[in-house]
Amino acid sequence: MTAPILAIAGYTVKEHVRNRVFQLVYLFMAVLVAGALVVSALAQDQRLRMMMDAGLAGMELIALIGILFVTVNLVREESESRSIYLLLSRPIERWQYIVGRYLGTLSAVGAGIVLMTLVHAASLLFFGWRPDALYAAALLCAFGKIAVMGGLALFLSLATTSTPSATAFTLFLWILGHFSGEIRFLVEKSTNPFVTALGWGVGAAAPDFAFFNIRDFMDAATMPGPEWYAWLAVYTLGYTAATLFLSSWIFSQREF
Amino acid sequence: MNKAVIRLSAATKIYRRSHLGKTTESVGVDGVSIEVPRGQVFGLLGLNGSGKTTTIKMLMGLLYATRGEVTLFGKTMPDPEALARVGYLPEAAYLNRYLTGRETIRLFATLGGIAAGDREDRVNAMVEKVGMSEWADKRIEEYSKGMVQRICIGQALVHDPDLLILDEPITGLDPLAINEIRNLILWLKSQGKTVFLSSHDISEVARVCDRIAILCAGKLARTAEASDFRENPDRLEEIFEETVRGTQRVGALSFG
Amino acid sequence: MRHPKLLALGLASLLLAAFARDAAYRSFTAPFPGHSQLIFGNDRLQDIAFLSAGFRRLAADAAWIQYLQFLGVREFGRGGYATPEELAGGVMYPGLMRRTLRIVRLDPWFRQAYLYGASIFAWSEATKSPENAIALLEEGIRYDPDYWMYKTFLAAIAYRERDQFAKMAGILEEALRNPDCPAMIKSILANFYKTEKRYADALRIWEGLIRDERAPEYHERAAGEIVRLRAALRGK
Repeated sequence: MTAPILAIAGYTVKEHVRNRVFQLVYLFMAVLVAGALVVSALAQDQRLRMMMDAGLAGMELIALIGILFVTVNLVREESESRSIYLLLSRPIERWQYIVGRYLGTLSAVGAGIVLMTLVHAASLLFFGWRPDALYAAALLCAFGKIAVMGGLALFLSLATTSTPSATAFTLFLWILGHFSGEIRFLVEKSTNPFVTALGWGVGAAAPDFAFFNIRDFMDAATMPGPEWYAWLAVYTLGYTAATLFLSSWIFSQREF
Repeated sequence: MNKAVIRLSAATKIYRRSHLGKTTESVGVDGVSIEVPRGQVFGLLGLNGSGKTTTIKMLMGLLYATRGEVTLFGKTMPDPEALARVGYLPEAAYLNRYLTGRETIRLFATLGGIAAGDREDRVNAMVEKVGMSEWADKRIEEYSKGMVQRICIGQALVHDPDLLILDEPITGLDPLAINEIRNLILWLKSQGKTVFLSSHDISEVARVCDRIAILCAGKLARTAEASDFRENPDRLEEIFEETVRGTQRVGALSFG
Repeated sequence: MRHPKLLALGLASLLLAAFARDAAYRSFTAPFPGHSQLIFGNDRLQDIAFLSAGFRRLAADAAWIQYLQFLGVREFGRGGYATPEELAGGVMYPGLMRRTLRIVRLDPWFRQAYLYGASIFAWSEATKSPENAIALLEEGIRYDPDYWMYKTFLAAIAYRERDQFAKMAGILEEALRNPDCPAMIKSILANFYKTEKRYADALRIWEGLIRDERAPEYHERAAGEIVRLRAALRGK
């Protein structure tokens, strides 16, 4: 069962590596070096903080943009080039194709994050940073966000009829996902059962990206505990699985 | 006991397209019934738009029959177990341009269920058989049309299928390549394989097929045995013209 | 419909995710100020864009750089922070408190912003407003109750307001030993020592500042002060 998934994931990684994903890494490296120079001149004694924040945000943004634009075209491009005919004419289930393509893309973007992290950590160390566990946690959470974002983009690319609409919907949900606190606040404060139910439904269906922003706690006095991380892991797996199951379901209705 | 490798029973495909709330329907194939026994070379003839590719896509599980039944090796399509025994050569060679020829054949060998221990030997042997040893490690995007066709043949045969489905296999090929495809089909027949092919080229079909069917506007108009045309290939042309005359979906060109 | 199981599994996974999210928020809620507490000037689009993209700390960082530019060259930027009274009163840095609050409401653990802002309000003649300094530090303590520097600063401000300068200097000396201590506090204490004719203490602080790689903006001034203080010490 796993061999076809791994084979599809493997060629997807090769496709991305030979195509465009790593161009984003080079872009990030350039931005990071330039940013460090500018920031060090502007931020006075907060240089390290700025480099940390700009680096983590930059990595996440580039990875998110990368996975968004790659994923919304992931199946569409193979459908349009018709190379999907041969793949689906092999003894594989449609869900295996979806999961393989998703895992391959996530692996390629993950490898990009690793490279960016090496550059980022090296530049931080150069300016006197002492590595800590929260940095690793921030990176893992950013990766979790990217995993969810990738699943969501894949689902929307299959649920909508064009690349621009899939991109627009995904970006909208990305922004909405950062206002999950406000949606929860609305649900808690509302006395109208309809508004409460609607708010809960929207909160459950839309991704909660604010959940993943552990980097906001970099200097915080109040930190989430292990229980919170455990639920975050369940959430990431659950939400990503949901997008993949639903993507596979839509894809299995499709004809070529 | 039924020995049919391919069976279409009153298979019908109706395409439905919705736009702005309005649904339009068009018939791809209508009530087609065909049986192909093991070891036979079967040719599907028809004008453009007669339903040949629709029939083949239903056999491959790329399209789902709206009514009727489509089975391969007794399994209703799409069925991974049946697909494991099928090699498919589509009308144009649709391959991922970022992979090399060897990687492409390896991918399809994996998807075809070849065990990891055997895989490399099978892939290397196939690369040699299709005459691509020197070029196998270059990317598909660097290949000529003929080279792509050879890799496509390699992917269709690498898992030693019992049934080969060829959609317009000689369209657009030069005379040498046509000769190679003809020899390939005859070799497959000598190996006891079942071959199902569609073509416009009546003389080629007459040379290799044991039985033919002619589709007109999505309906099965006629079948003929090799004994009806093998001695006199022009006879098949006559049969074809008699059958399809007046069934074109567009008018004739009327210059000069 | 083909493969209805996939649809059912998808919906079940979504429910599991919603359950996990609710459980997580029951175990911990991020104590960030709500949107109604955020301070928006004419940079609101910038702040909202950062927040929408989930970059809260980066929003505070950008606000911090704008704050330093505002203080350094009195470049007012897009403004929109000053009250009508401040504008009418012709104060030198209108809207300074709201600009400071803008940063710390975006990142309530931005210690340097609290300390720097409190220093300006407590010790700079141009912006003197001890009540603002105290309000800022109290807000910092609310989010970070165990951070001793806030309390140290509060004590130093209290002594200063009662003209108990020796006690204030003692408190600030303690603050100086912490790596988080803003360079501005060091320069304030050095100036205080100079006016008190404690040249050796002032020289010690400026010599520390000139070696401080995190405060390059003070290096030129420190070099000048070191020359003057050494001359004063020789002349004593």
